[in-house]
Amino acid sequence: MFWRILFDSIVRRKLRKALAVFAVWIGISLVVGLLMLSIDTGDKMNLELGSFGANIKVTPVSFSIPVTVGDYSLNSEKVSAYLEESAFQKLKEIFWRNNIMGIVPRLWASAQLNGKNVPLLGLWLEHKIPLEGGEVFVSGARQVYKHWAIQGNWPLSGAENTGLIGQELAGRLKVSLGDQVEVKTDKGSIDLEVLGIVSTGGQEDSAVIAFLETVQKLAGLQGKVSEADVSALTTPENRLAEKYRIDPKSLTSAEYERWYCTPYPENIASGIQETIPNSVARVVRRISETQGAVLTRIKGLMILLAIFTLISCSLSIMGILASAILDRRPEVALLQALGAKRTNVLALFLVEVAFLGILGGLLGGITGSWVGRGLIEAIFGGKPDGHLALLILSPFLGLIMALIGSLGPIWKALGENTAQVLHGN
Amino acid sequence: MIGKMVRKSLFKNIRITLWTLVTLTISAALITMFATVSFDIKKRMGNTLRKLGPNAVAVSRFSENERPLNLDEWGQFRAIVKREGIPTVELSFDIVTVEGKPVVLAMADSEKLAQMTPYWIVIGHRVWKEQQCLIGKRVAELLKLKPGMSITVHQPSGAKKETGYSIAGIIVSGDENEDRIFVPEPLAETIQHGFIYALLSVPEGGNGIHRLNTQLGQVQSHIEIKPLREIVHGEEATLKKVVLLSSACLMTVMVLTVLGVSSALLSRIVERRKEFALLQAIGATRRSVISFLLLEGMSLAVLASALGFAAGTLLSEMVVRQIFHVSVTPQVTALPITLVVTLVVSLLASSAGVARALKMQPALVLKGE
Amino acid sequence: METLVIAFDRVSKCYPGGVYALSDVSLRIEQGEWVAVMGPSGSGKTTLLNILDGLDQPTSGRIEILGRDTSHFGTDEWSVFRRENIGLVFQQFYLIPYLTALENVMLAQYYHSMVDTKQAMKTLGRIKLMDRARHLPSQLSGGEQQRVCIARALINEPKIILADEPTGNLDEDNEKTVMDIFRGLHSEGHAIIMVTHNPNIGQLADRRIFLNHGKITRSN
Repeated sequence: MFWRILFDSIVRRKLRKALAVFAVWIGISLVVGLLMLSIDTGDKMNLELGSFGANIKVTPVSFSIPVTVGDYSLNSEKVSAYLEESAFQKLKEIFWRNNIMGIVPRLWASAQLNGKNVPLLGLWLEHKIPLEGGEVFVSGARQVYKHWAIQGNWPLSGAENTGLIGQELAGRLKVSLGDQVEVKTDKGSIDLEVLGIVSTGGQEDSAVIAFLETVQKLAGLQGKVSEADVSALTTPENRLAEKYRIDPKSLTSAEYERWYCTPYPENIASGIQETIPNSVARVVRRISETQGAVLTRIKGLMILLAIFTLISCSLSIMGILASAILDRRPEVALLQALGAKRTNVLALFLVEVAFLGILGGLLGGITGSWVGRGLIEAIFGGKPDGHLALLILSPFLGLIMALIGSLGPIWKALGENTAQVLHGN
Repeated sequence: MIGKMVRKSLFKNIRITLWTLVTLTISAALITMFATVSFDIKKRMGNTLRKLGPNAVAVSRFSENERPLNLDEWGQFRAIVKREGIPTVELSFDIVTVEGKPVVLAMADSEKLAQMTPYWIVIGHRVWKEQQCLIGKRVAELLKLKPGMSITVHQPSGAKKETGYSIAGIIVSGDENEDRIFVPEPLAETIQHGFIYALLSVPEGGNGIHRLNTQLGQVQSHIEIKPLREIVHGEEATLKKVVLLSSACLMTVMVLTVLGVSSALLSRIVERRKEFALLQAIGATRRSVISFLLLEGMSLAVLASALGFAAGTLLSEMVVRQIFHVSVTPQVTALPITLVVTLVVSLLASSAGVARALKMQPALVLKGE
Repeated sequence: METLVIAFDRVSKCYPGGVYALSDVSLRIEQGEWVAVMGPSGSGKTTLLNILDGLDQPTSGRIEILGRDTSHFGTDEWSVFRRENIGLVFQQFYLIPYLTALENVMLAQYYHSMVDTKQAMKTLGRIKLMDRARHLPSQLSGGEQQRVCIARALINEPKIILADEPTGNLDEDNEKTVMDIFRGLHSEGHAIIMVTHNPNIGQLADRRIFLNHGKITRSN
């Protein structure tokens, strides 16, 4: 009989039950969507932080101090130490390979353009590194220097005779888009088609930029690079990292293990330094600190927002269910008058609500994943990770919300003066 | 008469009224909070980022070879920057030798520099006094120096050829500052040669920098402010995402709140359908019942918006303090938004309730079916 | 053999604000007796009934129903006692809107002991509603609804039937049908306490109690 009552109550009151399920559905959809978004925000934001550019700089070990101020080198001696280009391929094989998002080896040389001495910069524009398992990792200026403002186009790989020119230099030498310029060194010369004029805010503004191979050939430095920029996914430095920096010996072995396996910028930098012979990898703290600050705050923000959304959602679902129960007060009173114990009534209503909650939660979980996917794609433009756990969790979330939301009103309805309710007051 | 009825009805059903008011107030508070936070977040996040270091450098458009250093221009620059209240530090450079090796010597105000470069790690003391200096990590490594040791700086261009400093700390920054020695600023007139630039932390990123450049252009200054492009670009990208994120949350909460509140209001009216049936039975027109209900809903909404605005501002204060460790700026614009949303929700729900209540036959309702 | 089913001893009910709905009411009802409680509106008729069925509690006084002192019963004890011994008929019928006539009757069976469709159908047959067993309350007329309500009150063979204006919402024809059923119940030996203000219906009872301002003014 219990199930018969329940069944009738649901089947013969389809519209009302559908409304309750709908409320739970909408609520859970939004909550699941937002939870998905906030879970993904950390990772996606970290990727997004790549727009700050390279956070690790690799240079050769040097025995003299470079004397530079801003873009201007104040001593005429050129550094003559170089790194091996081939070593950079190996960065995708080290422990931190998945954290290394971009590598740009660079070679500086001097050349002549229109009879003037100009700096010549060769770099990976779009370099392919084959990975284990047949995948290909594409890295280069295009991926790493998201802040470069380019007028025209990036040179495409294979087109050796194309290049970019810095904005300041282009203005000074009156070079415009599409021009053919002759770049000469004492080792040779090349006719370069200017595909783009680039503004970077750095030394590149007054340089001619070409493929690394081209510049290596022109400078007679095959296989050599003078520096490299690396963009890495890192974890902001926390107390543990600080503790290690102050005194590495103060860490317990468990702490050391945790420190060792955490992608702190310093750890990745030392991994890089070990892989590239004769190199010094330095963390560009101006970038890494900013990234760290952004990440910490956004995570905090998202957690708070998710909590508040959960609260507001629970309140809404509770409100909807509460009003649905209050509508049925005469029914509660009647069942009691017919001799149902309070627990009987409670069981009947709670099982019904639980069913509605689970159904709404299930539907909400499915649409919620869609909402979350949509939100993530709209905000970060990337594909979200699968969140099976949330999908499994959502019916329970619906159940819990529905139960919490209706327990109070049912109890209240049970406590009311049966005689008065039946009398219509 | 209708006003009196609204008042009496609100007081008579004081429990239901209070409950509705609480629901409406909570939702109004949530709306205010999310509106305040999403308006404020860009500014707060921006300010936080601006505290992390400079986003622009000011340089003279001519290098020292082409044109002698013009200190007057830096005077103009200082005036503009001071008027705009932009944190800045000026650095002047010279090439000196230490133990026979050439090194860049940077002269700057110790405290201003510390404010502008919080991302440095300094082993030893961050702020140095006169006759003390900070040295870059690479300088320290190559010259085998440690905090507390003394160095002698040979400055060919300075008034005094030789100066002794004791090392206060070693800088780890990951950039060219590791190749430099920082000493307290000498008096301006002693700078004869050398090179000056200034680090700035300009609010509003690219737009702020553009505005400053326009102002400098108006006084025909040869000083130009160049953005540190990766920082400016990264910040803009980040802020855009943050604003998107918080507006997604705002929308979600709005939808949910509207759902919850309207159901609460609806049930309040449905519960009282007997009252309306009675009103109709004693000769009230549909119009008068509708206007009675809408008026009631409106007065509740206005009261709830006022309470909710206060509560929501407090809530956002808590949130912002938690994340950014600063006070929130109360957003006056959040008040009309809250008011409008609450009013619309309350009126919509009321009219839906009215429609439901009026659709029923008064006789049937009165009979208790 | 004890034939007393209900004994009220100086029972009072005072509502907040000092309004006495019942004051010092003493009353004894024998087994198989049909009592009509009559009086003007606000005289305390319904309060008396609600105290009898445990939906309301008296402020003072002693009540014994079927030999048991009910003054200390809690909500759930009342529920159990009610389903064993009392059948309720309301003026406003009160059927669960999503259950059929048959199921509404079986609901009382369910809370009493076990559901038995045959017995429920038989009870519906007694009130001549067999053919409407599968209809929802909204598909029944007022009189039919009230008959379902009576069937529900009868299903567990209660010793006492309490009815609050059972014909208050019915027309004359239906009134007659319902009263015929009550007459049948009376002859079967159920004690019936019926609140009514209709003197014609009151005439059918063995005894009439007149209430005014919470006091019994007359009894015959």
